Amino acid sequence: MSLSKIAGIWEKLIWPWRPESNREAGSGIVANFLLHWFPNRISLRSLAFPASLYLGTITFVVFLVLTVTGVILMFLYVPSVERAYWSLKDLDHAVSFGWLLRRLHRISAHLMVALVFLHMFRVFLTGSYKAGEIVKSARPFNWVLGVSLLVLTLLLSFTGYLLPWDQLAFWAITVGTNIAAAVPYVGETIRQFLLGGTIIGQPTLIRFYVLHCALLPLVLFAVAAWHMWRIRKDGGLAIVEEDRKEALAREPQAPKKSKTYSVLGIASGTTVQVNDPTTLNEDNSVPSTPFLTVRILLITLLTVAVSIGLSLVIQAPLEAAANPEVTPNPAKAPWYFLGLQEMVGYSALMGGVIVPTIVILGLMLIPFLDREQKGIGYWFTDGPGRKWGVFGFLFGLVTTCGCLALALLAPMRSIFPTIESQVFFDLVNPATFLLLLFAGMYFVVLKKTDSTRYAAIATFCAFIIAFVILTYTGTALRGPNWDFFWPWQAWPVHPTAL
Amino acid sequence: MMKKISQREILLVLFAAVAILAVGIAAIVYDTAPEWKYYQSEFGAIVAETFADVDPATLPSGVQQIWVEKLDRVDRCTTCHLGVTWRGLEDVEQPWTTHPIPEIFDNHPIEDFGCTVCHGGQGFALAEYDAHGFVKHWEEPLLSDIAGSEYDPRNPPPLYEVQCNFCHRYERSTDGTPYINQAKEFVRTKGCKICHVINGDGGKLGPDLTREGDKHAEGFDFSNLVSEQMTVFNWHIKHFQSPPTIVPGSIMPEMNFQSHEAQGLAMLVMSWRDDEDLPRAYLPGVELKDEMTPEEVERDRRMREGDGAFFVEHNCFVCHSIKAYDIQSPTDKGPDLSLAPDDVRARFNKTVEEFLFDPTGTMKIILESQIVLTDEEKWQAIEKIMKAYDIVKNRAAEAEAAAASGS
Repeated sequence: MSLSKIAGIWEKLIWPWRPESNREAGSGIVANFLLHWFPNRISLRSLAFPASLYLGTITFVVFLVLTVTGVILMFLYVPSVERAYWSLKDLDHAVSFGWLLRRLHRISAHLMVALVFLHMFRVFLTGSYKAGEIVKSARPFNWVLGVSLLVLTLLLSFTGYLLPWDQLAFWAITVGTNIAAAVPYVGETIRQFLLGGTIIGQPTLIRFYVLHCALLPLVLFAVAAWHMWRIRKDGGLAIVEEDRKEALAREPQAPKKSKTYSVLGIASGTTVQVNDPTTLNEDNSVPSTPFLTVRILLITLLTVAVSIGLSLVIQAPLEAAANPEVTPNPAKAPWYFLGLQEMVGYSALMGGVIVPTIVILGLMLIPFLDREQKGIGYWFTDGPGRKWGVFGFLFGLVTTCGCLALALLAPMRSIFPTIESQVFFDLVNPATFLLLLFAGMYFVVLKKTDSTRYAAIATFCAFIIAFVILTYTGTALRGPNWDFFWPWQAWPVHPTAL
Repeated sequence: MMKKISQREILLVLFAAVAILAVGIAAIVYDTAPEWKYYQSEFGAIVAETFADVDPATLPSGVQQIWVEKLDRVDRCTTCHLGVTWRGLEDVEQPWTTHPIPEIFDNHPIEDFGCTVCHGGQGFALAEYDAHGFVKHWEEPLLSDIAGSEYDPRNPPPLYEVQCNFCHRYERSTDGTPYINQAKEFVRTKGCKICHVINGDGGKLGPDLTREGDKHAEGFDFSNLVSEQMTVFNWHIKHFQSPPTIVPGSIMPEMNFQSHEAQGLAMLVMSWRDDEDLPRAYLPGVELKDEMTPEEVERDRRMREGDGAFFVEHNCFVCHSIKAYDIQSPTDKGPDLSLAPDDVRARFNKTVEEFLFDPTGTMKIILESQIVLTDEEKWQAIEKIMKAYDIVKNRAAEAEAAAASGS
């Protein structure tokens, strides 16, 4: 091969494009992806902290931390039932900075799940899933993308949960997949598909490993990119609708004095008077660089600092090696599923299948059910919205605590001791009551206010507090035999060998 | 109008950058200054002080690890316990001291056994707290006096005997395990096997105890155990002392065991674990060779201890029988050494002496590589061969005489 040919290949590899004219240079800049990550200008309303609390940005930074630590961990972790647990011991005790990698990955994983939930709460409560009236944006669709990102995040966390192969991992996945098995008719098939067999073993580990390290991160990355690209295409955060309204209301500015041309047949007068409501102006916006870039830098630095700081003080737990013959008591799913596990205690079908299905479907359908376009970008829409939010919150608090009390003090089976039908208890139990109460509240508020938005706010606030209370109960208040313990009550001593 | 970025925001960025720097430095300090480095440098100082002829630079440094593949164990204890196989550091404090029973390494080389197989604890760990198993989810607790003193503060039971007896379970008694030995004596004298199957043999009234030590804490009913120590070990102690108290309705007789006797019995049953994965080489008393009849054993003994022991010891008998000394070669590849003087003369035209000191052919190779004898040993061999020759000749003469007189 001649030298010039080699040089030609090298040229192709490094792509040494040199613009030959100003025009070409300009097109080059326009075509550059990195230079267009952020818009040219950013609305001051979008930039303001209360608009978003930057929860989405923080989530993405945490995802990057997880990617970096995860890739390094892949060099050190062995996905085999014989070696997995011991490779974690090595990470914790002997590998340089192995402890930091593992703790950082674990903390960031929990943070990411929590942040995705918080981000969803924020987007809902500010009504940011609405299309707006001035320019129909695709925000309803982006909300659906967001809900699928929530599901993907939960799946990523759940698949990662098994990898340490300790008792915590083994039994959390046992409980988690048993919840899936409660689906009528196909439940057992789903469980076997997840496990690659009837019990958790090497086939499960390698399935979860490949899903966790390859497939799910790729899908999540693609959907997240789509999610963020949509925000750009929709002109920024939902609060820009306000900028657009102002722009519409404003009188078109008189054009600058210059040469006049007749624009015959196109516009009246001597100039084109454009009033594009999507264009930001000098008053309501600032250049993205440096305003947005510095803000993103700040958020990134703080997020990474907090993650590492937390990793310094919080150890990643590692229990005894997985042992299918010894069931820890209590055996619990990962924390974000403990609200469901609490309800599974009432009825496996209700807590394991019906409630999660309704929640996921309900979340996805929100923007298509609530089509009112007022107060987009504002927390709780407006004054009455805030009132209904508080109402929903209190309603959720009271009803959830009531249903919990019912479950603890008067279990259904003791109220109806003569009934043996499982179907009856799947239909009549505190989880069903809670679901019916929330649905009933939605329609009552809808009737009273004639506003789908207010009804949705009240229901969503009730859902948030119910989620928090049930998750907390499952996590902190349930002890051995799933018995109830107050925070100040000590659990019975757990016997050990020596 | 070009707005400026606020001073406060710039300060916040600076603060965040400093925060990252701070947590980063904290992580680096935490990772690069582990306690074992201190113990290793102190060990160097102790050795320099105690032994004039040891160069501290030759001491092991960095993480030390004993990987016992056959036992599936990784022990890093010797990273800090550097003096454990040394002699002369008996009076030095932990972690640098010599093992209190240094003879233990004669039969239990540290590279074949590691540490945790006897002592328990977390072999993977490199920090004092993690390694000694005081952590919440410890692998195995360290079987030290501290753990034992939970049960008897003044006279802590030697819990490590549980581990000893995992391998030594089939021995009648084992040196250094007084509690276990006494408990084994009880098993023989109190008739445990009347009701219980132990090691595959016994009655069926009570449960099979062959793998009792594998039973997890979850498998015991602690509801009748009134004690601070909710442990399997304590359950067994209290159960041995009064079975019906711990298991209401139990028909197991009360034997009025003293507390240290009950402790020994508890250790014994806890040592009865599944040993299917334990390599046979680790089981004392298990001989790894082909089965022999008593006659074969007796002939083997005579060959090893008789007049021809020299030829067995030096493996000559692998090819050569020596009839004169009743030595039968398993292969009979070579000629009978009793007849060597005639044979060597006939084939090589040499005396035995000349041939041994200057062999030819196959024997040259064997005597140079496989069976290398000193000159002294060669003279010994010659003497014994000549003696064998005489014996055979005498026997032949006697037989001839007998035949002659008979006819």
